Order: sequence, then C-alpha cells, then structure tokens
Amino acid sequence: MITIDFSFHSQYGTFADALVLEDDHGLTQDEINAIQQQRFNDWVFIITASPSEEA
Amino acid sequence: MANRYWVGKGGTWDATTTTNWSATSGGSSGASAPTSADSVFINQAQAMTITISGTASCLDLTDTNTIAHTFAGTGVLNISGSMTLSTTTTWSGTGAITFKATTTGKTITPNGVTISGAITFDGVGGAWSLGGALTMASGKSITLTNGTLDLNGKTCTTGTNFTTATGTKDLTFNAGTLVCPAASATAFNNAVPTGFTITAGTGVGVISMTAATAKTFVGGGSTFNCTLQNAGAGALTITDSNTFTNISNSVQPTTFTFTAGTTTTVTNWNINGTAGNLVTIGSATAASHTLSKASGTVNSNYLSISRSTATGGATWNAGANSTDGGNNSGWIFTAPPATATGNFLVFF
Repeated sequence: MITIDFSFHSQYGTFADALVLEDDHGLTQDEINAIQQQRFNDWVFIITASPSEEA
Repeated sequence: MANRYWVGKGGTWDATTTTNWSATSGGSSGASAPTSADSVFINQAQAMTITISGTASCLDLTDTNTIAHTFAGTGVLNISGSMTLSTTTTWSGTGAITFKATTTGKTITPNGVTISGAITFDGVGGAWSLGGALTMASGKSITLTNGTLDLNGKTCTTGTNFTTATGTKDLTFNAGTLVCPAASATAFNNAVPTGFTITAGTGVGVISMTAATAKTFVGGGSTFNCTLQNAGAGALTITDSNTFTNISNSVQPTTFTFTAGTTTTVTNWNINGTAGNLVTIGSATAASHTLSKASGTVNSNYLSISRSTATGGATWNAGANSTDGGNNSGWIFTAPPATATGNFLVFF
C-alpha cells in the first residue's frame, strides 16, 4: 500500500487527507489529482449542507 | 486472537452468524464470528453488502476490497484496534461505531469514506491516530469519552456535535483541524470538561466552526492549546471561561458572542473585519465579558465592540476603523501609533 498525503486550504479550514492505494493501483497522476479534488469537493458539500442535529 | 476473512457475497455481520467468515483468506466459510480479539479482513475483490446487525465486534478492521461494496445496517460495531477502509467502500450503516482500544498505536484511515454512524472513542488508555480525513455524515456525532484522539495533521469533521463525556480523554492536534459545521447550540460541546486535555503537538491545530448561521462553542472552562476559528458568517457564541492559544476569523462579517461574566484568556487574538464587513464582539446578555491577554499588543481593525473588558497586561488596539458600541473597557479605538522603521534627521 502507498499513502499520498494531500491538503486543500479554504475559508472553512484546511482539508488534510490521505489517499491510500494498492501498490499496483495503475492510476495516472491526473486520476489521482481528480480523486483528491473530488474528496475536497465532497467535504465542502458536506460542511455547507446545513448539518442537522442527530435524531 | 485470530483472523477472520469475509468470504462470499453479501451477508450479515453480527455476534454469531458464521455464513461469511473464514479462518483463512479465501477459505471455507463457517468460522466463528469475530470477537473483539479477532482481526477482520475484507480482502475479496467483489461487490457486496455487509449488513451489520445487533452488536458486531473486531480487533482490527482492514478493508482492501477494490470493488465497490457497502457496509450497511443498523447494528453497532465495536472496534478494539485499528480501522482501514478502501477507496471503494461505502459506509451507509447507521449504527454506532465505538473505538474501544485500551492501548496506544491504533490508526483510523477512512480513505475518503464518509461515515454514517455516530462514532465514540471509549477506551481507557487507548490512542487513535488519523491516517486520513475522518468525515461524518450529516447528523452524526463524534463523542470522546476515554483515550486520545490524535488528528495527526488530518481533518476531522463531525456531522453534528463534537462532545466530551465522562472519562479521561485527550484531543491532540499535531496541526490537524477539527471542523464543527453544525448550526447548533452544541456544535462543539465540552459537556464533561473534567479529565479533558487539548494538546497542540507539533504545529498549530484549529477548531473551525463553519456554520453560516448561529452556533455555539461550549468550552467548559478548558485550556485549548489550539486556534478557535469562526469560519462561518453565523454568530459564534463561546460559553464559559476558557483559554485559547489563538482566536481568529476567516470570514467577514461575523460575530463573536461571549457569555457575560466569563473571562476568555488568549495568547493571540487575530479577529479582524474589513471595510463594510465589521466583526461584532459582544456579550450574550446585557453585561460585560472579559478578554485577557498577558502581554504584547493586539492590533485589530474593523470591529464593532460592546460590553467587552480587555485586560491582562496586553495593549488592546481595536483599530481606527472599529466601532465603540459602548460599555467597553481597555480597548483603544484609535489607530495604533506608527512604528518608526528607521532613523532620520530633520534640518531647519
């Protein structure tokens, strides 16, 4: 397994994550970049979607 | 202690069902369901849904399935070791997850998976380090009861509240960020401050309160060796007399509201507005709060301050563009004196 640390900075704070992949994952750098960007986008969506109280 | 490998397609993970458990990777099913002493491996590359039912347990949970698959169900899961998920995992199970390790060195690596079950850390003497961002689904809380949660430079995002409970617990940042996005009176809820420590570690940690509407930081009177940041337009109410390494804002306009009668002690104060976007500093009720900084100089600007006593030994410059809303003490509402940057002579 390989671990790729990455982070994005935003007004909400730093989104720091790690992408853990199989050694033979076969992804291109562009595909890795896209996964990282998608994770950041998903995170922003979650924290801006008016989180509710737990039922 | 044994290993248990999930085999076959989807099925139920509970305390007794043996249908999908093998003692060897890819081996025959029929092994006993894992206990808190058994490490679980989800390592068969195939689509499946694992439905957690009743109370399921394991030591480590290691998921390396490279095909899209799902953890579902409403059962609770007790993990006594580490957890590693795959990029292809979906966690739609809504049952609670409790991390129960009682030794240090455990890791949690969600690998981009949003967790749909509330998480509790409850292991006396346990310590968990994030191996990646931990993001909770909306409405799902994080409770710290016993043990140390080390953000390890990663981002931990609660879906509703971050709460402390009765026990000996520590939140270590190591430059990580705790994000509390809920517009809630308990978005950060240090409900049981006794036995709670907040450790900076290496670098600067941040608690980021991001709601665009009103939210509350229930400090419990603790010492927060981190930055408390208001990162949403909504007013941030801070209760109790707490100590912070730093208080800041990343958006303007916004509001900081302190409980009247409390003293908030800071090492650094980095709250500023901009032209036309003042940051309001005030009290929750019609009485004053106190801000204390032991030394140095605060240089804010574009604030609207009321019912605020600034003290402690530092010089508190509100800034020439700030507004004195009344009932203030210790704030200086003029431009700070210019600082000489070199020597010069004047000849007549």
